[in-house]
Amino acid sequence: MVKLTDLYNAIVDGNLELAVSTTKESLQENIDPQILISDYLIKGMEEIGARFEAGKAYVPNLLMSARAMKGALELLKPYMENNHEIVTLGKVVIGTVKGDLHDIGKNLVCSMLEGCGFEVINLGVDVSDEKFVQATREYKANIVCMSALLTTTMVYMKEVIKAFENAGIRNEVKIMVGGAPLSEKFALEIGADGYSDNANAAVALARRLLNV
Amino acid sequence: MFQPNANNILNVLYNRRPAYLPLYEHHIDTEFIEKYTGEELTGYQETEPEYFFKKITAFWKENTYDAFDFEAPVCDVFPDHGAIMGGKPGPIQTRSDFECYPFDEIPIRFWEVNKPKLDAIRKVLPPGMKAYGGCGYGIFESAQDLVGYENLCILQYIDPELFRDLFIRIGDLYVELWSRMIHEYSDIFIFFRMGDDLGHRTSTMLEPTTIINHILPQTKRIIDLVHGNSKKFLLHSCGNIFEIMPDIIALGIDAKHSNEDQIAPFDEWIKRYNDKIGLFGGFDVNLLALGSYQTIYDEVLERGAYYRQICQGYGLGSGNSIASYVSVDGFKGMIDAVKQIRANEKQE
Repeated sequence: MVKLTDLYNAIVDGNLELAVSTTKESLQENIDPQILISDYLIKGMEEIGARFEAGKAYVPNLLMSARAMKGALELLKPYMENNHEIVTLGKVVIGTVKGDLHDIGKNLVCSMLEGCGFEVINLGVDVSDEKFVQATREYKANIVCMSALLTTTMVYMKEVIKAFENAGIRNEVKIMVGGAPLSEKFALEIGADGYSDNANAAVALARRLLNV
Repeated sequence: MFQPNANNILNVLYNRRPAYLPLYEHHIDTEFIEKYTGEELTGYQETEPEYFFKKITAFWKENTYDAFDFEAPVCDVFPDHGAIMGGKPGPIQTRSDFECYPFDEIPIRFWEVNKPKLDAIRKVLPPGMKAYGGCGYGIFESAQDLVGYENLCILQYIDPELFRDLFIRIGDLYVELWSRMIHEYSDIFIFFRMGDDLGHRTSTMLEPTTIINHILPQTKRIIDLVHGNSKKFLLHSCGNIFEIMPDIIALGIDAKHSNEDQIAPFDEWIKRYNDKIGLFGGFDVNLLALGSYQTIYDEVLERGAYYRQICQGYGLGSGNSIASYVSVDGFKGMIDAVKQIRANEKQE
């Protein structure tokens, strides 16, 4: 009989092989995929996230956990699709705003969101307001994430939000912002729905905004 | 008329009080200097290096710096590089990539590109002024550029031997490049500096033990080379690296630069390390980018005088660099405040 705590531990320890083998065994034993996700995978990610927030884990630990989570989710996807259940927690369009080429932080957020069950459409760097709006429409995204490392480029985020208003779809998406020079106050001032100062917090915020 | 005296700023590296407060920047973007002077300079570093460095050093001198920064960037000559800031995956992902990677070609490319610039600097340095810097980028940054940050994070777990060998090979490359830099160009550098950003906002980029076991030993090889040639060593490293600072200091660095208010006020750096190493910086880039001339002048005058008073070795400047987006007025506010601090001290 499968030991489900192994799945939780695999995520916390970032052990892809164990996550995959335990998920396979669980499916063979007809355990509900939704239980695997809610009670073990997400709980494991929450634990590693909490350790990161407490300074007891580091970015590589987060990435290894996200990798293990992704490996398990790949196996669960077909079962979820067959059951006509929701495969992802939500769709996220993400990019570093126009004029800014920094992408380390943004890519970390991508990895963490993907690892935690979001579908991520990464638009890359130097992304215009038009591109954000277009991608959101095309992929029917629930969340838009914008990143900026420069004091001069962060102000462009306001223009992107305005572009969503002009396109008449501002109320259809949640907008999150992040990046070194930003703050909660700045996010509020430009009309974003939320700000996070690290990749782990971005996942928590995305889940909070979508109530998932 | 200000006469630079590179020996004045050198005092900071000895962690002793310079005769007058020195100014320091990790870098001043060419675009900023163009904005300030109204002269076009982009591209001239390659095509007319003497003209370029004459203009650049004149700008630093006019703004009362004792020395100016020059780094010959190592990553820029890595074949197929671009994981740092280039949005590309790094060229090394597997053992086979690593074995095939043309590390041996890098020194040739490096000197082809940088020798003309270094020789030009030697010709045009204003009397009293020297450069600081040396080989640009650090051990960790080079690994990031070759592998990509996220892949590097994963690599340490899925192929620890490759991870270990990569850092040793980068260390070997750095020793080769730095040896020649120190041997041939010590006369133009007042001290040497390596920049290697090891932290982000809340902690280190890799686990502290990983940095201590794989990165710092390679950095130490360069520090020993520098010290072996009777030069001083400055480390520029951004981010929250307090957890590994004791290990960094134990390497033998003489001074440290880079501070961000969102991580810790500069006072914290002074409180922790003033008695151990020289410190540079103090003023967050955001302040210089967003503040008015008067705001910056007042703040630098007040806090700069205070830092000068309580620190042993201290050089004033931004917490990082004068980026292209820093306002000219903001920069002038900082420079004028430092001039005032110097003038006030003369009157005392």
